[in-house]
Amino acid sequence: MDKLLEVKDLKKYFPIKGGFFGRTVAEVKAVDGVSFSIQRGRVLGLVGESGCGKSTAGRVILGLNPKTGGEILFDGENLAQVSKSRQRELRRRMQMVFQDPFSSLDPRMNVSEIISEGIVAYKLCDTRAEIEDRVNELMEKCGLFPEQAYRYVHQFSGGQRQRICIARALATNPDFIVLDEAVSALDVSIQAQIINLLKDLQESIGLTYLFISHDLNIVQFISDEVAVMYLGEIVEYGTTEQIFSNPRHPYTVALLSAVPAFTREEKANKHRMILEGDLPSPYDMPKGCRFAGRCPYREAVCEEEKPVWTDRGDGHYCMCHRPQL
Amino acid sequence: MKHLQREHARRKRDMRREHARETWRLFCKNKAALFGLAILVIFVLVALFADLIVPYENAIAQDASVRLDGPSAAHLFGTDKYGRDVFAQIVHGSRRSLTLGIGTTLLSVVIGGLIGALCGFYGGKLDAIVMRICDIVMCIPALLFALAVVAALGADMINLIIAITIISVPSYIRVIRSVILSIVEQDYIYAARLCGTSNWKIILHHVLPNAMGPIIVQASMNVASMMLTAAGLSFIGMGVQQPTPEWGAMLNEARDSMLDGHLHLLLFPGVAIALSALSLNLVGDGLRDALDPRLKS
Repeated sequence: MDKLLEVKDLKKYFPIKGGFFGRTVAEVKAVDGVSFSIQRGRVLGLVGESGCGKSTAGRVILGLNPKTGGEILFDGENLAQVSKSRQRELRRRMQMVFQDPFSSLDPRMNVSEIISEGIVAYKLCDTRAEIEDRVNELMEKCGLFPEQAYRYVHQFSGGQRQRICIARALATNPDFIVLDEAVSALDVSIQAQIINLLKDLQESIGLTYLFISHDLNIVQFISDEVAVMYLGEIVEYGTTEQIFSNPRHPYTVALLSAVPAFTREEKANKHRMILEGDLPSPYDMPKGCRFAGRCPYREAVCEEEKPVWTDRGDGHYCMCHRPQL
Repeated sequence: MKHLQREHARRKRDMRREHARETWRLFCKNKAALFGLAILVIFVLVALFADLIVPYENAIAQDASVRLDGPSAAHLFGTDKYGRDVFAQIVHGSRRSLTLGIGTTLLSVVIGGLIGALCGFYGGKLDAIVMRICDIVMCIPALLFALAVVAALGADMINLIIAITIISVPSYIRVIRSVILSIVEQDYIYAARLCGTSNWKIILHHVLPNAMGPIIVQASMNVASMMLTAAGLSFIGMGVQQPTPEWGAMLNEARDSMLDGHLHLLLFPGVAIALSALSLNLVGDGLRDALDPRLKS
């Protein structure tokens, strides 16, 4: 299988301006050396708590925010090195569905205008009739009624809006879609519908997803691989099976233990791992392991030395000093 | 297939027509806006057909025998200290006053809107430079600055419009820039970028339409102050020259006679300015609401 997206040592630092001349006095390292790749047709779940940099990573990959360092390879081509027109063509094949279906749709446009925007900008259809046919087809594919094409977005519910967002993302015939908390803003029954729609689309069109979420149940359902992010770094990576049944990093263990248990059996087996302490200040990172301050298994070496990224077998990677866990 | 396409085109046309009708219906539902529109239409008609209503001579002909008369059948709004008919002055003054007020406002909105949009959208050096220029222009007293511009270019109607536009543009740039700064961070702007839409299209299709509300409010509020600035300039002889009738100039002239109890000289041009400003305000409010698709059912 070939890699559709490969991210190498991606960095995104936000400068903090201060002083009289607006000099950069400090940096927030939102994404600090993230590397991963996604095989064509697969779904990578990117999980982590709020503020760990997962959304920023998604935005930087799509070029919505400029990167500070690192490389992004799409279909084997380095986005920073190809020509402008080639870059535009590659960008067409990368789309995004945003978290908030209210702020991600222009309130002054009707559905037809919203969905056709990418078709028009990339000149994917020749005539107006073709554009309309395409819009209708996309609406049907996403579970919307083509009769609603000239309605405005405020006339739709959250779930329908998210369907519009998905139709818009599909309009440019992408291969790869970043789903940035795409279902977090919806209520649970709608979440299920949207997730099923996303899964159906992925299977029928052969899409590749980067699924950013903090909802582990959904990630487990939709992802083939999972990467766990903590404070701008990926601390664990493996297949969904590996991560959920055999987590190696204490942070992943803590995350998984926070998932609510429903059945009696689950509750009996549940061991809650409650983290102590707070996140370190993002512009004053500890020099050792970033998780050391909150880790129950902390040892002297954790505070001093940064752990290395090691394979724990079968492509299950983890960044922790403790070999067994 | 052909038939389907025609059917689709028809439905789209119907939707457009429906949309326009809906906008108009919403506008009509706002009684205040309708009232404002009625007054505005009357003012514009008066300005257009001023010569048919009362001959221009009445506005400038001086008649010492009827100096400072109050309203009467012969002189509907009375006469000023030179014996000129105030009603004729109001009617003919509407041309200049409305052109000055509305013309400068439109010009400022277009110029300020474009510059403000570019500053807010691109930010960086362009933004910093334009903002400092605005600060400098706003530091200079408005009237003094306009005076300098008119003095340099010569006193006539066009130069007056240019001068007043220059002093009002910075405040528009600031208001519009701040509105746009909040819009460019919205996800739908990022989504438009992902759709491959070019920057200027994003500004025209997404940013400016969503900034329309505050722009309309700012513009309709400013018309009256534009008229008064023009009046101030006319007063010191740098604007519309006597005896050409103009509301602001009339108002300034009335100040001498006011203390002697000739309030009609103050009242009529004052009411004319207030009414035109009010009507524009009401229409502006109504338009803002009617154009917002979120408020439609």
